[in-house]
Amino acid sequence: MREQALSTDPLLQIEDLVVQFVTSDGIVHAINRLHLSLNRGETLALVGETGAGKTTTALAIMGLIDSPPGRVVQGEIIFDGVDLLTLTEEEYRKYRGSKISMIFQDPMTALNPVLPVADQIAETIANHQGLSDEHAMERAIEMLELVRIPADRAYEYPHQFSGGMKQRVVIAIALACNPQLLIADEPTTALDVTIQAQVLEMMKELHDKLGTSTLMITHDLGVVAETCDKVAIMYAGEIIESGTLKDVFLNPSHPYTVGLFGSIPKIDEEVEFLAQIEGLMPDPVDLPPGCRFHPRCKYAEPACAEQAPAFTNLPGEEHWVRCLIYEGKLQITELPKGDLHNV
Amino acid sequence: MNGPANVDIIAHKKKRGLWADAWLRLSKNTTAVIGMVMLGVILLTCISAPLFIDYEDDVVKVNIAKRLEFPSEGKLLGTDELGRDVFARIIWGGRISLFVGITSVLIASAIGTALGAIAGYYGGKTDSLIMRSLDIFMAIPSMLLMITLVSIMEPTTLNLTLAISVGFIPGKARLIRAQVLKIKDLEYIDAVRAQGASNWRIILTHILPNAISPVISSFIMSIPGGIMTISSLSFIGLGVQAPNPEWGSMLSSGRAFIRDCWHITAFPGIAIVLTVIALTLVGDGLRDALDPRMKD
Repeated sequence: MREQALSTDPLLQIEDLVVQFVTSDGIVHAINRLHLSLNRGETLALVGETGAGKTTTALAIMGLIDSPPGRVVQGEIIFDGVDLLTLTEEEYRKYRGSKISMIFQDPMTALNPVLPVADQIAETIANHQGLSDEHAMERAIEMLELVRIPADRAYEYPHQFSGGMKQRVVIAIALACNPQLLIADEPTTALDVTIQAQVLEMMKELHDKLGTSTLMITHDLGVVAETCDKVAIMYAGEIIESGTLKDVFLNPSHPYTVGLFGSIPKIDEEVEFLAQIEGLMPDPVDLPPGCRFHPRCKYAEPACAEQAPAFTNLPGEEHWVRCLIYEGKLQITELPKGDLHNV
Repeated sequence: MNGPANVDIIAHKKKRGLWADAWLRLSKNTTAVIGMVMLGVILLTCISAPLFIDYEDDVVKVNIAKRLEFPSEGKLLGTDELGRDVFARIIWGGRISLFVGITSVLIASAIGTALGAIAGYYGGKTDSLIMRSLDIFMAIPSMLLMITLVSIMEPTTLNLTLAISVGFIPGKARLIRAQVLKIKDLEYIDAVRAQGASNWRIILTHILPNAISPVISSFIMSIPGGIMTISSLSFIGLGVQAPNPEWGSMLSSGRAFIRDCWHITAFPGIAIVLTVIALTLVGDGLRDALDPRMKD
């Protein structure tokens, strides 16, 4: 394995993380030797299909993987100089919500239906900052105003808010204690498109204002382009390509990444069928040997089934890819350049 | 947008809590208010009974000369087979029936809720240990269990209450456990855990308030069961001891005379029915009032 070159100060560094779930069907290999790093103030997008292990990665960082059946087999999650995996449950609890926060996918179900929204924000503040109820409530209302919810709606219940407003409340809760790291797990998937834009705009604005590092989990490349500084593409529990937005978007190098970009419909082209990556995500109980992507890869050669690719540094700002093509171990040495590269 | 001064005002605004809100909604529900008024009258009458009824003279003193009298001016609801005033006995009996009924179910609900919530939330071995222990109680017929408990202890009102509550605990625990199992997997529980809430906080502020409304209505609906249980125990002589009146025992002692003197059984029966109706109305109203989604 390699050390990823880091230009600046890393806030979060995941090294060699392996997470498995023990089920009656066998061991589910959810995350396989994952490497990821996030610098202070940066927004990193974690992109992948459903089932790639994005949410599991987020839950692993939060220390919220249910055990059993889940278990972290090996690896380190170094956050601000501390390996989170060595913390006791009680110590971990002090990190959650105050230093690391998480926004869940569906705002409709992410709020407690029987508590007024301000109480839900104030609870986190009172819990971590030891403020009195009144001061916590003041701060909660300030947070609501920060996400542009009028203060006089503070004592209303979640069902009295629209989906977009609920997601803003969720964001207010997550940011209430001014965390260093915000994990946003598909924050706009459950919202309709106009509200998506609104919420993303707000997250970007808050990011600029508060300087919170963000791990944005998504499968929407449009969201990535709008909000992120860096991108990591995840497939079958491992990162297969990572780099700055520019690196990955202008020069997608892994065949899977190329396929992802190719699958975005283009507004100025009329096609009968949308482009797609053939096949399905492999069964995590029974992952293919060698490169996990080779059964679906157009360029696969016999060597791909035998040898797991290592990270290769590509020219660019900080571009890494995990594919034998770039290790020079296959007959082809680069992907055929097509119009895919100009997305 | 509002300035900081405004924030201050709103933060200090008198906040209505969950219960105050529920009370407001309850008071807007006409049938629930009728139920509360009925229940209030019944409770007040029973509680204030010593002010207008003399226990020795009206409730327990046998007066054979005046036996089996029909309702008349002096004796509002007539007299029973031993010449005692039925009205006075119903009210005095209500003190015991209601106290035992309410207290036993209250104790059972409190213990059942605590056990059920812990079992449901923690799952695994804790769950098995608690629920299997409760299954033992469920496996024994509840009447037999109570008879055993009452025979071991003195049949005082307090002991009767405790014995009856034991029979209700497994049901309440199962009810809340099922609710907790459903709620603990909802996303907002993950969300509050991701905000660093402790297990106790999650159970107390995030799960129980969402799980409690069926428990509250079942609490109200179980009180008649509690009243019937104490009556049954009284009937077989293990409950309230004669000559103390009690609704159930009045019913059973009057049944020999039901052909000619219907009033001896009818009026205690009506007392039970009215109490049950009042409790049901209040229970229904409470269930709706405790759900904030029913608001407006």
